[in-house]
Amino acid sequence: MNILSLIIKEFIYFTNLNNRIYQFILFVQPLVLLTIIHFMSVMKGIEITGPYIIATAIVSMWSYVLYSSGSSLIWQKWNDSLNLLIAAPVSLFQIVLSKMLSNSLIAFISLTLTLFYAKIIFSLNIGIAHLGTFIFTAIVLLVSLSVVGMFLAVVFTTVQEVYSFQNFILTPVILLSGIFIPVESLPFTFRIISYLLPMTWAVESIYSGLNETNDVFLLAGVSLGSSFIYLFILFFGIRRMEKIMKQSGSLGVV
Amino acid sequence: MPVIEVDKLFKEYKTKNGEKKVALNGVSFDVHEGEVFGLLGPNGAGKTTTIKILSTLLLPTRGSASVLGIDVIRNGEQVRSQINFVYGGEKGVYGRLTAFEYLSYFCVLYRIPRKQQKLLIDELITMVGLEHAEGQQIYTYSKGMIQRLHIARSLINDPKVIFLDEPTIGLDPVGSKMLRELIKSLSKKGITFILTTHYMSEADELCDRIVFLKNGSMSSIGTPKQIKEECNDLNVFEATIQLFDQSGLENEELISVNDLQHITESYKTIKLEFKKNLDISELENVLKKYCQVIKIQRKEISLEDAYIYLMKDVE
Ligand SMILES: Nc1ncnc2c1ncn2[C@@H]1O[C@H](COP(=O)(O)OP(=O)(O)OP(=O)(O)O)[C@@H](O)[C@H]1O
Ligand SMILES: [Mg+2]
Repeated sequence: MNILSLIIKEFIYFTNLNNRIYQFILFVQPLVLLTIIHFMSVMKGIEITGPYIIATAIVSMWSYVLYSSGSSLIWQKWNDSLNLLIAAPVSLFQIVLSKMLSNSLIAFISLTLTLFYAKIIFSLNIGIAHLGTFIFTAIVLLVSLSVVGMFLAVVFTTVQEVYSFQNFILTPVILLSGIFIPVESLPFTFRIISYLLPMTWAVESIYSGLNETNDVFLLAGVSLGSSFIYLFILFFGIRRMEKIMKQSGSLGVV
Repeated sequence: MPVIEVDKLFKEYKTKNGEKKVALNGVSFDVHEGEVFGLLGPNGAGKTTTIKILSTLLLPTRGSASVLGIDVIRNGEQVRSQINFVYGGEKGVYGRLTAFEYLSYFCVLYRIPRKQQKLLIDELITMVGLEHAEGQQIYTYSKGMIQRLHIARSLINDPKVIFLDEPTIGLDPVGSKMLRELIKSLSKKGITFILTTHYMSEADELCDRIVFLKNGSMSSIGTPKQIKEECNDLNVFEATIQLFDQSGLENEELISVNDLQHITESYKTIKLEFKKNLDISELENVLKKYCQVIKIQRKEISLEDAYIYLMKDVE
């Protein structure tokens, strides 16, 4: 299938592990975050449980998706290769989707790496009761991260001014999606935004899987559902973006 | 049926400061199968704008255009697998990839079956003379090498129509000859080309027909021969002279000096345009007032002469 070849090409050709920021996010940041929670637990005498470790992993996954996916279209516009992508018979939606899925794959590796560090270096017990459930919820999370990445890629390309705020998006989303702070404890308006993010549901689903509560699949379903709504909107959004750029002649730099 | 039909294309850009800029002001032409069609004109005339519209990358404000019978404004997606384009310059590549990887990415974008990809890429890379650099990352390429790579990319889907926007920019003489031969042989096979270039000799050699664009409007259209004939009242001469009164020559009302080249300190060749239809001996008499005439001959009008003549009122 062509989309599969596209994802493979994206993964092999456009994963830039020479980029220092990505190196940091993928390999160093998990170590740093785990060290922080390790010392916090030592000082406060609390035991580190699964959700803490997973939380640090999600931060790295999210950071990677934000930085890699968010900029994936806008730099092609500056590089004048967006023209070439649009002129090709494969739709821009498919191209963007394959980029995001390839980035999610890397994010998945970063999750595995965090768990590996936690186990080997910090000798922590992650406590995944059902591996199958965990992997399923992790994939749901990746899907949600992908669509949010796609969404940002389109927004950044359409409204370039927003791109400079990339760094300001990182932390608020971590706070809003319930990674560290339960969404219920947020003020009402923020809670609304939280529930509009498909990640929030995926994060809750992962946590309830770890805590062995029984709403795992319901939460995962809500997350997947909202991801698909996002995808649906993106499908038309990308067409609209293409059309606007074709009208204004702003597809490339020249 | 023509392969390309352009009817009253009109394009207005909105610039940043809210002003409007008319880039195309009612351009219409047809291009037939296997034709090499030249779009010529000064910077900003609207050549790239026309090519972008035809290659589905830009929407016109008004007018219609079809390629291979498909409306490129409404159904652009349908024609993409059958066309391709090259624009001059070093952009549009991924520096970290090798030429092979770059082309294999585009193979996927153009849905080339996986089994055919390697053979096709090798063939294209050899055709543009990049075989020695195939495995080298593109950021190490020179300008002309990138241009060659773009040419290879443009052939990846075996297109029926190819748009070339200043494709020889940065190519060395061997490279541009390679491209000219390629264009000629492909057009013999029925592939249609639209070409823009600022090199008039290139256009003269390659183009079956030419349109001159001027401020977004068409000023002339025809074969290179027809266009040159439009300039029949243009009297161009070339003379070798030994000049003794330069300012006198420059102020002479009957002639205008286009081009003054020094051969040696005292001998010069000049390209002259005679403003009235006088013959060569009369011209020689005018010249004798300012210089000693060593040699004078009527020059055959080149496309460049025609261009300069037809575009002289462009600001
Ligand atoms: N995206 C754009 N926004 C605003 N104006 C534009 C845009 N693109 C082109 N123009 C204007 O439209 C006119 C035609 O431009 P175009 O690029 O078609 O010229 P061209 O004939 O290709 O010139 P050149 O020989 O320099 O390549 C120019 O005046 C240019 O400034
Ligand atoms: Mg141009």
